[in-house]
Amino acid sequence: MEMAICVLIAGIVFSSGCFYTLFVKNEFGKKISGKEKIKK
Amino acid sequence: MINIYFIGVVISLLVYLLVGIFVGRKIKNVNDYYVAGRNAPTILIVGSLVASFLSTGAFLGDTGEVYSGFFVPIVIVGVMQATGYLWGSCLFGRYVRRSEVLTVPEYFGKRFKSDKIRKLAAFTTIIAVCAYMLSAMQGISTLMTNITGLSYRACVLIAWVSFTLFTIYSGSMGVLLTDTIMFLLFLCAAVIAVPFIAHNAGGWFNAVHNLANSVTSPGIISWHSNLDYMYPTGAGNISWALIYGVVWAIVVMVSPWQTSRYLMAKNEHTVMRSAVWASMGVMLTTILLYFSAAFVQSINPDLVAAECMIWAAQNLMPTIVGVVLLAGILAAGVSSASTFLSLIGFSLTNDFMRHTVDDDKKRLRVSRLGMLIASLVILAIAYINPPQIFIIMYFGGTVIASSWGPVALASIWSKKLSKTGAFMGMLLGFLGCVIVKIVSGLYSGDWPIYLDSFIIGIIMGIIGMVIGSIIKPVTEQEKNEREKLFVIPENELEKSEIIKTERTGYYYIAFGVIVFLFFMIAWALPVLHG
Repeated sequence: MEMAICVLIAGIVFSSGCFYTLFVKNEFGKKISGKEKIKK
Repeated sequence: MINIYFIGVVISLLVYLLVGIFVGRKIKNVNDYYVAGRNAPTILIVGSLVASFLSTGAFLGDTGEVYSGFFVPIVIVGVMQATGYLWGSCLFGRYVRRSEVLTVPEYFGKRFKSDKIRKLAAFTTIIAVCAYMLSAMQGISTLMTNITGLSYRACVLIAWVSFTLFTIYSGSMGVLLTDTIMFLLFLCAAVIAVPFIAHNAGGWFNAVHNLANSVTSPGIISWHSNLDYMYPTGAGNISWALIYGVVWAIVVMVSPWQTSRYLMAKNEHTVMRSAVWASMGVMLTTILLYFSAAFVQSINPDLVAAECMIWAAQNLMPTIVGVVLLAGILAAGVSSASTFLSLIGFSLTNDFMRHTVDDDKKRLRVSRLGMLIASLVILAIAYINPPQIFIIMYFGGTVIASSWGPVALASIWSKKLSKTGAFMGMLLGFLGCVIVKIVSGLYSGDWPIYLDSFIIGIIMGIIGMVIGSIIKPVTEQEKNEREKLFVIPENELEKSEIIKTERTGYYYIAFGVIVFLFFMIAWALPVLHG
């Protein structure tokens, strides 16, 4: 069970990091490409 | 009475006071006083986020729980709550900053075009923050009593003076700076103290091995914890941890004492990046503290639980390190209390009395007077009540999670939540939580975990949101106000800033791998081979 707790703890941290990164990409990534298109 | 620990603590308090006075002289208007001119960099936001969240509740309350045999549940709560920063900054914090308000209750008022919901949010803020401030004050007093040998009541007075003066004078500008100094101090204290405590317990791996075979607190470090402490089964204890992990993650995501820090950030990227560093800071500090408290149990099992870290500072490390640790614990309490006090003052003047006080100078005066009165009320309650740091802190957190959690998130992400729905959701969430807290407190038997005040509060809150939104659906005005929140300001689209913000996400993912390796090597494997 201790191993499972380790996986649980790391899973919570890891998934939060993935959510954050995807959120930033989704929010700002499109805007960058959009802005660059406008500039061109 | 006067010893090296007392002198060290008094010096640290004087530093905060001097910094507060220095910064307070630069305040020109309410914007400076409430939101520090909206120009704070990442380091100050991180410092204030962590310092206002981690209080004596973590340093004395949580460690007391760990010392009593509740290691794994408290660790799970610690990890879950820290991840709340990432979810909160993405889903709520950046939108609150974007709405350009002075307080978080003002955000609710603006979003739903309702003075009623603004006042309700301000009221729940004051109730929760007062409870939390009381817990911090009792923690500071307990610490001072231990160090000086003075009576608890005399120390309550010292505690009151220690944070009231500079907070009233310097407002958010002073709180941001002193919070950051205090955060760095207690982070250093936690990092420096652990090796000494582990060394006294026979070295890290020996200490974990001994705890795995503990006779004085059986099961303290295993997954199920000490079954004589909270719940009689491992499943019960883990369920408690998961429920309160969610509670504290919601507190970190939406509570006024966390999201109000984002109002001071210089841009939205500062909000996002601060959240990542704050999450790592909270996790690092709390995990080190929790291991320390467990090690203290293996060294001396006969202590008062909430005072185990104070004993460790005075007995298990060189004097100078002990002084730093005690000053760090005190800093955690003072920094939270100062944030809470400023929130009370701001809510009173900005959300309750804004129509009667329109002049800038008068608003500053009323804010300061409001803080003084609130701090005197808390002083009186702390004076006549015995310290119950952990219980009171959990009350404040649960109230905000139940009443604010669903409404705050839905205010951004739901198209269907109306003004009436938000009001009913916040009100029923608050009442459900408080009523169950009172009833469960009066009940003499074991209160079932599935009837926890948070669960009942949050269910009632969601029911209130749904019913209220059906009774009175969203108006065109409310719809427009919500849509405005999704317009990203042009100045947030700087490519270099976006890349930096994205990079912090990768750092956090790498941090997740480190956390896994740490727990496997430093805890799970030694316990399994114990």
